Amino acid sequence: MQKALIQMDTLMRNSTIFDAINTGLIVLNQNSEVVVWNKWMGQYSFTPTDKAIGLALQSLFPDLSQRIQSVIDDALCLQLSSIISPRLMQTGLPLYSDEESYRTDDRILQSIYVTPTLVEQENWCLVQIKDATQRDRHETSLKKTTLEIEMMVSRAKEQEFQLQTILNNTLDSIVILNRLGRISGFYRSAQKMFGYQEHELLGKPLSVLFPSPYNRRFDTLINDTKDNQPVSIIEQAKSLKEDGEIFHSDIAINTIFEGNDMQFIITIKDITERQLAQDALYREKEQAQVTLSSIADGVITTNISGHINFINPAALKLTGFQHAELIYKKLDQVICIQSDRHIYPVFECIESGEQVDSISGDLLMTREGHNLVIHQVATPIHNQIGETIGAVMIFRDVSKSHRLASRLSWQASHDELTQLFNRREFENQLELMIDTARNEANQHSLCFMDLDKFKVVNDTCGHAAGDELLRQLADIFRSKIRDADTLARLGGDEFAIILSKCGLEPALKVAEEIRAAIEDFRFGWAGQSFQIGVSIGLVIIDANSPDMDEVFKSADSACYAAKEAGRNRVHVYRQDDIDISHRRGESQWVVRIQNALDQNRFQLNYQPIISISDDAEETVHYEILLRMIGENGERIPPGAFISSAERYLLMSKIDIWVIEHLFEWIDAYWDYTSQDSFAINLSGQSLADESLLHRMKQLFDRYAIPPRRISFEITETAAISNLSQAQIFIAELKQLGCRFALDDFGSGLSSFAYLKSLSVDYLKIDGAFVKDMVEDPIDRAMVEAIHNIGSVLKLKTIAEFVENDSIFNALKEVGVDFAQGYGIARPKPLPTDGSPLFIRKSKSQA
Amino acid sequence: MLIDLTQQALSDSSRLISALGQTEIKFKVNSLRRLIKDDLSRQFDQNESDMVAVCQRLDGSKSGQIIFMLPEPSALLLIKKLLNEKNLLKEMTEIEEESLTEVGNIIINNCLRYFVKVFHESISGLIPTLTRAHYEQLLNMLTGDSSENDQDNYLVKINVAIGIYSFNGYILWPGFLCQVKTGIPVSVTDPCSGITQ
Repeated sequence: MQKALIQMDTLMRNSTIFDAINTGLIVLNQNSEVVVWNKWMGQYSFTPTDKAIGLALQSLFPDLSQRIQSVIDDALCLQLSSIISPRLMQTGLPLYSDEESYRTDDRILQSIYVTPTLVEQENWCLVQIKDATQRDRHETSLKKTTLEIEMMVSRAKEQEFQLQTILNNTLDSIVILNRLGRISGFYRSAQKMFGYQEHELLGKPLSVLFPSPYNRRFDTLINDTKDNQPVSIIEQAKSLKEDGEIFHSDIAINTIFEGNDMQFIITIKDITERQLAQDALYREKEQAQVTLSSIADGVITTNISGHINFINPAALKLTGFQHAELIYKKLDQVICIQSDRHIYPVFECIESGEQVDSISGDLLMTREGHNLVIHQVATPIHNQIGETIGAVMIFRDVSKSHRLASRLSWQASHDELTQLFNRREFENQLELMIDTARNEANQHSLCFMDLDKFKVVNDTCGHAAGDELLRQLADIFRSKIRDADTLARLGGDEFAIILSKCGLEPALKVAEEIRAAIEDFRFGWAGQSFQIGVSIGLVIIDANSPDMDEVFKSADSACYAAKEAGRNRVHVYRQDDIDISHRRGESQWVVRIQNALDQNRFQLNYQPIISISDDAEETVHYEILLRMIGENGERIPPGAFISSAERYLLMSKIDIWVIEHLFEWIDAYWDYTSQDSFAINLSGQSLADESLLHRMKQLFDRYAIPPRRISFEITETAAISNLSQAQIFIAELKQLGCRFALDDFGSGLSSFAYLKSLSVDYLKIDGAFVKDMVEDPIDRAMVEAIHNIGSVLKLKTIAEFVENDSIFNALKEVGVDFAQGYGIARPKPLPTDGSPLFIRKSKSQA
Repeated sequence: MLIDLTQQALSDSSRLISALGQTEIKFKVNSLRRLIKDDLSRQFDQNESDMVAVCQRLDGSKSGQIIFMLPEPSALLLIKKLLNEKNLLKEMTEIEEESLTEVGNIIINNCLRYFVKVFHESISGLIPTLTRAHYEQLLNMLTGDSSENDQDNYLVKINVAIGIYSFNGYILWPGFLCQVKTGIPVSVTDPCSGITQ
């Protein structure tokens, strides 16, 4: 408001104008008294005009602020104009917009303008008041809105920045097309992927990024998109880089709308690596499929719940099912497998997460109802984080090998010929029986059975006959025992029975029945009939029984005792049995003999065999005899240890020892020009020992001893027991030039038919007939008979036990060719001093 | 003496404004120079060319304006701090402009109060107005008559300190305001150089 000279009357005349204005107007005179108080003031101060005129402002407004008073004073005194703004005003004039505000003293915000004016030469002032309340509210609201807008703008800018950052840093390419399908945004990731800069592509169509036919495809798609038509497409395509390289990509095309504007957002993802991986995976899958289809093993895979999701052709073939019958079905509901396991290995491995190997020979029932023995392995399938998601079952038909294994197992425990248990299995059973006898205080019986005269059939009719005989005898044994009893063929012609829970009396009865049955049995073969016997040793197994070996030995000893007692009988083992104890003693000799062999404590002795007839050769034969030197240096005759050696199969060792040491002695001390010869005793075991034959040939070669200087004596019994081997042995050595004598001839029960099959050179007449031939005419007759047989067979005869001249002369009369005995010379050790072995007396003196 | 008077006026203004705004504000005279109009423009920093000015027209034997001006950013800062305005807009609202006008008015009136006491019997100023202009334009408003370009004008550079902020401000008035009745110009000592003119 301009300062002007105002006349009083002018003021009065313009009161109507003052009342019309929408601001407060106060005119104060120089005394600060109210001269003008317009209607607005009356309304807002709740003091009507007529009440205000003439009063001092301080009277009207007692709490007039210092500031307002000061500016009024500045106007009245110094003629300074002032402005008091609403926000810096601490306390405004008491002006109110309504009665409610008046009551609560809620004053309006005010802008006050104070201007000095001169009225009739007096300094008056004008005070103008404006209600700033609305303005302030409006400004506050505007500020708030502005700030909100600014925040929104700031956020939008931030979001835009973030979006730009994202768009520029995604792995996938982002391309923006405008509504015309032209590139309007080509972000950093796209620049990197394609090799273009943004400015090179702005305004270009999308097709520049794709080779044919994709470029046409996408152009058409973009061009055909109508305005405001939402599009959302994902496709695989090939993309084209700036350098011409083409790569596989996933393309996503979407439209976005901002108001009326439409844009296309193109996302391009390079899937080259994925494609390569997929190709590799496909190849691997193909390979796996082909492999699985080719292998002979059945392969079935299931998911985590055991439902089948893959079967290979081998599995279909093995099970006999069609693919459709198995796929997606639960394994245990379509394929029946019996095993020792309580659940299928597939389910077990799914549960445990570990491989399950079932090699016990499970049975798989095929569709046709056949049982296959299978070996199956179940392996869990895991995902990338190690969780089990299914299982693979691989199985193969092992029926054949299972049968083979079963057969082998059977064969390992059974005798092929008789179908009975074999020795090994019998020993297992015997161990068990001994244990039960101890633990359960039971009593069982063991029968050890050795056939009598079996070899006669074997050697007379051949092995086929012998085998058939064994089979038939086995049947007889079976018929005499119970199911609970155990019958076995131990080997050769030896059998054994364990009578379960059977005491001595009933066992004896059974043994006797068996013996009688065998005795009564007649074996027919090739028109011949044979009678066989059996010797049985019986031993009781109870809680006091020792170990299996001892029980076996006891039974064996009892059987031997039965044999010794005349065969075809049952002998019960008793602890105090003399015969048994004799056999026991024999076992101790085994160790002594072995030690003597190892320590060379045998001694070679010799006894001359001279011719009897006057015109016979003057050469002397020397029978080599063996003595054992005991641990204390005592001389032990062969009778003490030979039976043990035979029993425990040491004779071959002894015989080879004799031969080796004799040959050594001959090489060292004998005159090779001499016509004398040496006779070596050979046991039946040696006759069957091929290695001994071979060794002997080596020794002949080594020492260059003329074979014709060596003869061998074999007993009749030994020869018969090992007839075929004896024939071979004799033939081999005779071929070299050796000679053979049949020792102790006449003492056995063998048939004379054997003599014809043995190409021996001498018959040694059993000394039992010779020593009493002078007194006993029967013995003399025997000697004569044997000599005659020998003569017929063109064999020389040798008489043993020639103890005196009378016997010598008697033998001479009979015509026996040679004599040996104490009457001629006693056995002596082979000399090592070069002294002669024997000096013969004149033939007239024996 | 003029500097003292001006400083005194600024101190009075500081007290009043601080009380009104409940925020301490201090004004300090940095320099006071008496310059002809043509030299005035050289006193300003080119970086502070846009000014917000409170102009109060002088009414007396001679006309002119007394101007209190601040660079615009400083003016915004001053008023926001004075009014404790947390939500800062980039520009002042109308009421805020009014508050700034009041600040300028207080400073100018206090200066005039001292000038009246010392130099004139009476001089009145009209209601101040707020102007945004280049300082060149504002300088032209000091005296409306171009023939008086060679007349002296007084330029006071002040320092305004409010809170941690400190910035420059200016007060200008035509030279005739500081002439005593005798017409003898009053000597002015520049506090910076110590030179008395």
